Amino acid sequence: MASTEPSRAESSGSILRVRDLVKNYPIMRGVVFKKQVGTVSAVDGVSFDLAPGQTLALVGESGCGKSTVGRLLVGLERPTSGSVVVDGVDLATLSPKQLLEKRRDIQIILQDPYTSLDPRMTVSSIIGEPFEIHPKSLPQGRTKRQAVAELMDRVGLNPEFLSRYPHQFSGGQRQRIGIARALALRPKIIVADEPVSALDVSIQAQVMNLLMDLRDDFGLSYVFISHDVSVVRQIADEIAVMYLGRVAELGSADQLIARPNHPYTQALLSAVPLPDPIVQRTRERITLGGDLPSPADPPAGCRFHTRCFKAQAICAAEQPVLRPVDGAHVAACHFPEPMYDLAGGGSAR
Amino acid sequence: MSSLVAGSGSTVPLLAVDDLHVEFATRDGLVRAVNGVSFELRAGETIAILGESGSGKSVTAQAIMGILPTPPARITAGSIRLEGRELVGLRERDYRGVRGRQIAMIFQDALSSLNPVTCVGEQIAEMFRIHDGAGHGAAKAAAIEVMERVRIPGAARRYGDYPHQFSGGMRQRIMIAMMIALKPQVLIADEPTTALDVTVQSQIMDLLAELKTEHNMGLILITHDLGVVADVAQHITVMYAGRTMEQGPVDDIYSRPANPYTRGLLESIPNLEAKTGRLPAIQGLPPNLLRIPPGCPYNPRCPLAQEICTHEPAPALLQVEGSHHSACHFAQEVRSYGIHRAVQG
Repeated sequence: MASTEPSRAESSGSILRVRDLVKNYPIMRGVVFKKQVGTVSAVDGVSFDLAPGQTLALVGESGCGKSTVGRLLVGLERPTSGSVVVDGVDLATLSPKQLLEKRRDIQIILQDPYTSLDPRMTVSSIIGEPFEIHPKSLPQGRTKRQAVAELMDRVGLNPEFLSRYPHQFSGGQRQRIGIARALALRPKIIVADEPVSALDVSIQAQVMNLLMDLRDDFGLSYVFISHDVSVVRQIADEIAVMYLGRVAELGSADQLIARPNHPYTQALLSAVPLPDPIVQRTRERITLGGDLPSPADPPAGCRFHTRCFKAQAICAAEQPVLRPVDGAHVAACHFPEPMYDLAGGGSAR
Repeated sequence: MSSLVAGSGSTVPLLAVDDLHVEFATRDGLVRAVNGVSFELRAGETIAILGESGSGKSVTAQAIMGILPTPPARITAGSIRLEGRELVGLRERDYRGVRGRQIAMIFQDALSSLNPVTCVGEQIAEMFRIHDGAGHGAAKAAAIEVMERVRIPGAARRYGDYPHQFSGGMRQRIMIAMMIALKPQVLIADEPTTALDVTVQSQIMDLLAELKTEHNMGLILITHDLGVVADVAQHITVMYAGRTMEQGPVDDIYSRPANPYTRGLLESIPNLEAKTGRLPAIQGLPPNLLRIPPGCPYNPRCPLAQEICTHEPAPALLQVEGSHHSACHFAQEVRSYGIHRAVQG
């Protein structure tokens, strides 16, 4: 791999621009005469920018819309409205043929290495499939087999296992297969949807390290989707915290974790279990009441107000917009206020 | 069968597992899933069994509950005593009096543990009807009471709702309600919060801790997550490939682990406080239980492994200090290192 050039800096700052992304799913009733009886608002106005070589994390709990955003980015779903601009090109303006071409730039790694690989395909055909669709992407002077072997070697799989099937690999190895497949077309952006959540702790760290190495070697940009803030902390430059389809807070990873301003971010951070019994017993914790409301019937105003410990009358009436709290750090709250030391009581120096 | 030692004095532990061995006969050979695990649980105490997939933690729990699929599983040695009464070898008919009433268990996935076609209230009430012989009205009243106890909002109104109508956290509460219904002495929770979001996780852990205190139960938490049990358990047992690697008071183990595996786990957890870049990952993969490596099962992955670790039989659990034990030839040395959770940026 001769020339890996992480600097593509001239291209106006961002490799991925997302603006006002909205995804609604209809709720249908009836067997023969289907009728729409409601709408699930899965993603409701999400915007962010991703700079080349950077990692943006989408963090949130189940049902917050983070995976839907990921699927919208790679074109597995079509947005209801809003735009996804990859390397200066708005995907919505492309013809199907152009879109297919453009999708080489943005690939996805899925959470579950058990269901995201076809059990009847060999590893070589799984990793090599992108080359079937985009024959031009095959590196110069290499056969498909050679290219696949190189990819396997790069992600830490023994290339001798080319003709094995997914069930002959462990969870961590399967996730490496998924990573090799995503790398095949030399994308600029990889969307990683909970890539380590299904793995054991000791394997998680290996896969995280691999993802960090690949980012540095290939100058990749990541959209890293996860519910686990501690994992995200290790890889993200920026973090967007999502709640019920909206971005609650967005900022640099350091700032957002050291000084969260949105009550939801604060509760989320304070609930992360820390592997230190002494810190864990003494740290301040915010326990949220109740459950996540249904996205089919989201609360009016601020979607978090039904569980918020700071909620006032205005929160139920008016939707807060993302406003700067500190430079590029923004929060969608009527009463933003930083809280400190939620990540462990500042026991570290 | 020794009859119970009257008046559960503190000398006889509530539950004592001693040198438990469980094997599974599979087509490919004998799988030694649990290989000599021992621990004790006292009333009002919480212990945790920590391990990754394949460590034998869930099999240990199933053995205690008497729900091992036999065959293929078989308890080949060891004993499980509840207040001095031997449970290994107990007839199924007698075990039914133990399960639910004395030892109860909640599972990770509440949705698949609940009956989807019976309303949740009925499922809880059934416990009272079958085990206590309560009439319909009394059972329903008792069910609503425990539903309130686990703080299901509008318990009476939701009695007739089905499992799919509840959120993940609420379903786990329903499981807990069912399991505490008969006021068991021992509650085993197998990954009770793994499927839940973090903000809900803490609610459930708080609830479990509260119920434990209220009923003076012994609580066994089975988990892979070192964070979740840190402040809840008093004692932990770390398992790997069916063996106990380390055992002792939680504070001691987390601050000064005496086994390289425990240390590796603690160090590989991503730190929320600081970005540390590459994580000190444990190399390699957990062993295939059909081919557990000779010597210490962790030796192929252990950064400290010496010749003795492969040539000698697996080290026994030896005392490091007080009730802190470790199965490592170099336990004292490992302990003296402490852990290095990277904190520098």
